[in-house]
Amino acid sequence: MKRFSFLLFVFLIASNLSAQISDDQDQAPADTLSILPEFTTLAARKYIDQVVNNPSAWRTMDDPVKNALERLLDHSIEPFDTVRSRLLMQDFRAIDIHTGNPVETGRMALKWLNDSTFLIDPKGWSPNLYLREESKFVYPVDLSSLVLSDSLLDENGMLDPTLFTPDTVIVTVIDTSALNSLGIALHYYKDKLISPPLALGKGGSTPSLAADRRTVIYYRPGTVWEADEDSPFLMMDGRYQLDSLQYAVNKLLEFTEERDSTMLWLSDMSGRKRPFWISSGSEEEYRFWVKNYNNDSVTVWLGNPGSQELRLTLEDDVNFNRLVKEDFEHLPSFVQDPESSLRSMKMLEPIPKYWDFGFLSAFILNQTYLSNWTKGGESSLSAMMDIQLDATYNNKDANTQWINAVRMKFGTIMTQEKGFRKNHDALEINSKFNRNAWGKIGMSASLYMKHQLAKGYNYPNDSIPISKFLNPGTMTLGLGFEYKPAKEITFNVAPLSYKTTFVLDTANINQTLHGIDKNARAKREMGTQIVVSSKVTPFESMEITNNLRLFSNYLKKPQNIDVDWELIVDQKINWFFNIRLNLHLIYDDDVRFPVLDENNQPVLLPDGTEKKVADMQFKEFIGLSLQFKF
Amino acid sequence: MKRSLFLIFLICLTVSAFGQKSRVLSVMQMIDSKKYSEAKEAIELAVWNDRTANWHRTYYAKGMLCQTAYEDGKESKDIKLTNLYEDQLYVAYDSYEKAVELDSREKIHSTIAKKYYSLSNDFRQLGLEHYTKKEYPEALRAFEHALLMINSKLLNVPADTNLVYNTAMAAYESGNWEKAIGYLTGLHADAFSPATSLFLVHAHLYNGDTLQAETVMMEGVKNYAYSDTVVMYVVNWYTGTHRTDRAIEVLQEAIKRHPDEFRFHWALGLVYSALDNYLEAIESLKKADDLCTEKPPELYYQLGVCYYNIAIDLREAALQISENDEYMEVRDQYLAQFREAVKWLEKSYELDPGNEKTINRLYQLYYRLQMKEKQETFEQLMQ
Repeated sequence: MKRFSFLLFVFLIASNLSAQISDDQDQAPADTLSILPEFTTLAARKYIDQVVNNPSAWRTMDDPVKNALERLLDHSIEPFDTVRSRLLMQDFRAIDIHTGNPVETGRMALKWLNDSTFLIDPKGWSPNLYLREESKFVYPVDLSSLVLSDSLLDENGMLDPTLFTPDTVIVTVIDTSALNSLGIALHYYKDKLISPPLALGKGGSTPSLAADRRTVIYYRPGTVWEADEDSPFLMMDGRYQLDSLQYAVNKLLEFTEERDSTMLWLSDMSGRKRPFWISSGSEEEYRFWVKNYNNDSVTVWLGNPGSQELRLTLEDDVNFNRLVKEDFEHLPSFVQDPESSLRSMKMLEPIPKYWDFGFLSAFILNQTYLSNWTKGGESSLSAMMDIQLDATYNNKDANTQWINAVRMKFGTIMTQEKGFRKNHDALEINSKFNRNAWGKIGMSASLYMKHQLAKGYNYPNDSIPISKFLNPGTMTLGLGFEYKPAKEITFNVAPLSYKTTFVLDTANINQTLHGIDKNARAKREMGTQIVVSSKVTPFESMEITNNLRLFSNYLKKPQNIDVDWELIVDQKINWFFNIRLNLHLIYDDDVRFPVLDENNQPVLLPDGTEKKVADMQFKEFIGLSLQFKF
Repeated sequence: MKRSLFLIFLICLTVSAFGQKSRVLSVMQMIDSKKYSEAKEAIELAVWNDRTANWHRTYYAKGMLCQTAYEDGKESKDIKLTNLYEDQLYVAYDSYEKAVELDSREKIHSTIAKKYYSLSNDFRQLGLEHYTKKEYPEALRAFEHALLMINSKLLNVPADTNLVYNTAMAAYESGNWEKAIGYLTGLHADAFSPATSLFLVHAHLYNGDTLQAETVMMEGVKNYAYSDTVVMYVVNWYTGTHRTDRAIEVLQEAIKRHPDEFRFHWALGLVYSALDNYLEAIESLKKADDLCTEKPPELYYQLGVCYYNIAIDLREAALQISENDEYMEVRDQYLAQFREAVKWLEKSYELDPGNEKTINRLYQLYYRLQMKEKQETFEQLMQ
């Protein structure tokens, strides 16, 4: 370890020095102590190399410092981690076994007898033992089969004599029997084929004709151990040589690693540093704060389980919040469920009801019965029928109202003494047209007619009628205004009114009794008519109907106002029966009554005529009323 | 005297013969005189009397009493009059109907018809009052009676679709799906309003009929010519049921018909976004931005989020890359997308500074992009 530390120290110094030297400076400066040398890496390497390899520089050649410098030189050429990485990456055992080139085991010389025949004489016998020379005559042509032809003839037509002259030829004869006995093989060579084939050599070695065809070479098959083509190795001495090399390398690397240690400096973004020794086998862990730019930190534990291994462990209870995608689950806010609000409904326009009809009938009965009544009296039965028909036109849109009423009152009284007599008789027709002009005030036009139905008599005279149907009759036309402060109360003022009282049958009816001049059938008046109508209910079962009609004649005694006032009080008994009180008051200045003296005789005027004055007419009737209303 | 006694006898006979009926007729006068309690007493006697129990005028009078007292009570705010009978208007209607039934010679049909006009209005008003008080079943009952009268043979008035709609709403709100579907189906067939069709869809859904709901929806889309209300609803439905392909089809057709409707482009962008198809989503959202004059902050927020999501996708991909150079290249890409997201989110923030969602997202991105100054500003904002 010390050695390694020293080595590292030297290396660092060298590195430091080399870092200070410009790469451009290849030449080392002068080796003087006064001047710090400035080296390039190459120059430093050369310098150390010179020192290391200078025998005179060292006391002993195996000095450790010298060795260290040698190793430093090695490191400078190639750092150790590169060496180690290369060695680790190298598969030393990548080896292949090949059947290699045949191995020559011997040679045998050939003896060629001619171009195509040779023999192999393994023992080197003398050729004389199997070769001898013989002389032989040879004719140019075969005379036995010769066929004469012109070609055999010369110019003279004679046979060529040379054809019949034999040549003496010395022939080498091979004694095959001798060859067999000497164990010599004779072979023929033609077209690179040897026949018979050459016999195998010793140990079964394979014969092969040498390229110069002078010898036969014998081979045996060869086995070699050869590395892969990628391997830096070529041939091995043995099959397991590279395995051993691998093992040796690993062993040494392990040894190196076990013995090695390195100090690292860990720094964070703020520049704070912390040393960390990488050494083999240390189980100690160091805490380190990993920071981001925002100075947020996460604690990390740093361990060194192996010399070439770092282990990082995040502190417990650290939660990570990574940015994650955001999903759109809904459409924008303009997609909304419809609101369940109601729609405005157009209300039905009711069919206008312009006409309203009414019917009111009251049958009023009053009966008295006397029997042996000492104080005197008379049994009687009186009855009155009061029927009213109404037809009212009401157009609110047009602010108009037309009220029409027909009323018929007819009553009789029957007594034991006087018998049957009429005591009520009236037929009224009332028509009034209003047009609302200013709030509760409207313009109005009215028609009022009053007659009777049956003949009337001035009892006890029942032979001369004083009235009958339409005789007399009154009719009033009026134009004016109507004020209606409440539903059942009206004030009608007609400043332009015309009132006529007529008797059509003056022959039978004395018109003067009704305020008409003697020679006239009708009396006409212009004036103002005021009509006040009301219907009030002071108690739940009581109803009071009031009708007051006033008329003032502009032309004659306007101060003498005609009055026609009727008051009806109905007190309900049950569903059908009422008690009805009917009061009727009439005053007409033109209707005059004779003045009677104490003897009940008419007072006469100086001219002999009866004295007559205007007087109030009053009628009262009370009785049990049976009513129907529709 | 005998004559007078005979006359009395004659009167009594007349009274006894016509008394009961005249009592009914006198009810009319009582009504005119606002003597409703007496009228009620009289008419109830008449209803149980043999002579008048089957007389049409009896029921006409009863109906008139109920209706008039009710209307008078409404006008004078007198609950005694409006509560003269329990369910007074319904009693009026039933009485009129009974009168019509008994009036074989149709003497008072036209009179009752006139009453029906105002009674129908009364029922409408009653329905509105119940609906306002969220008394939906009662509102439904009132509206249905108003409809009954409109459909009565006595009246000849045009159908009031608004009344049908209100009846449908009352049925809908009261959860009476069968009736709601009945009324709404008619309105939907007449293309009354987009809301009607959507309510019908809801009613079918509440009724458990999803298929019919979907059919109505698509009919609605066509009936209302791809109206934005219906289209948006349909798209929301399809996206909610994870059928985004159908949503896209509808939106594309809607855009064909209404190319200038920014909502369609907006919705299409969101659908694409839901499919993680952010580039097309951005294209559609930007188109919506071009068309929309209101500049809604939500739209910009969604645009920002599209870029943000693209960045997240890229970052996830980068985490799988072991090659440093390649990783750094992708890292630059996703940081660029983050910056683009910031641009749109800041636009949204300018328009709606109080939106917490935007503030949070921007803060995250400022932190991630090491935009320290803005990050600190937003940190204070969030605190």
